[in-house]
Amino acid sequence: MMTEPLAPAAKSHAEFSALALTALDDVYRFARSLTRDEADAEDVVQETYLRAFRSWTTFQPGSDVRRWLFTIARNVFLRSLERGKREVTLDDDGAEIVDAAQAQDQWIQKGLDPLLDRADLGPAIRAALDEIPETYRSAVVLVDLEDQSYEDAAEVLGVPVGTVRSRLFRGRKLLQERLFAYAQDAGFLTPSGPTRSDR
Amino acid sequence: MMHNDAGAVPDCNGAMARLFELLDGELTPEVERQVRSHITSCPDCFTHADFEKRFLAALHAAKAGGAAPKQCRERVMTALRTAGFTG
Repeated sequence: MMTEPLAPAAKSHAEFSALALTALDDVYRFARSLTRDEADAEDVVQETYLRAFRSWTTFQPGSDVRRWLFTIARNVFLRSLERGKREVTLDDDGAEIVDAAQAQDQWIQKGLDPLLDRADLGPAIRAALDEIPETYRSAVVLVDLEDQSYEDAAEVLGVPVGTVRSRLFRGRKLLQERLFAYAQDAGFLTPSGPTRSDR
Repeated sequence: MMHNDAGAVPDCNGAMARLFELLDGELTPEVERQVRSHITSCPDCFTHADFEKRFLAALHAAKAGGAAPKQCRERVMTALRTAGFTG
């Protein structure tokens, strides 16, 4: 079947549709993790796509469109924070020295370990993500939920790779703390360890 | 438990400091080999690594169910068309 060649604008729009719009679910998830609010996330997604469309000619063909959209989305989000002063984010650009082995022993002793085998942990993890500061949440979401490399996440966040490494470490440990609290609240754990049924 | 084996194999603190990078596939092959060498020979670190590996698996699995709502997609398309999008 013969098809008419697309005009430059139409071709560009078709490429935008094929590349950028297919990442809408990913952009929404990222925006939702940033804003922790569905309505705010939709605002961020809409503004992200408008900006992306208007600057589509600057997108480098062959580069990672999701990384590009995530970068725009985070900038949109940060701009909204400046306007609304809704949240004060923490920053942690220094190298964090944490005795991981000691922290790990603590978690195992307190019984978080058996919780990880539960099939219904997704909602608890997503709720815990909403509770940690945006600085750490963004790093965790980009690397753990959106499969970005440390280098790609650093580009989206506009920070050095070492900072991503540090924020990931801290963010994951904060998540473990929140999950531990969730497990206690849900009765899976007692202050002294896991319940008998969870052993 | 501390290890200070000969060569470039890290001790417990050194190995655990790089554990997430190991599990994320962010280490160079040589450093990965060194860290793995410690972990496989240290029961405490092996237990720690197994815990973190399962924690990350649970975290990755939490991605499910994050699709954009229908009205979000419709809002985006309406805004784009207003801006001249014809795709």
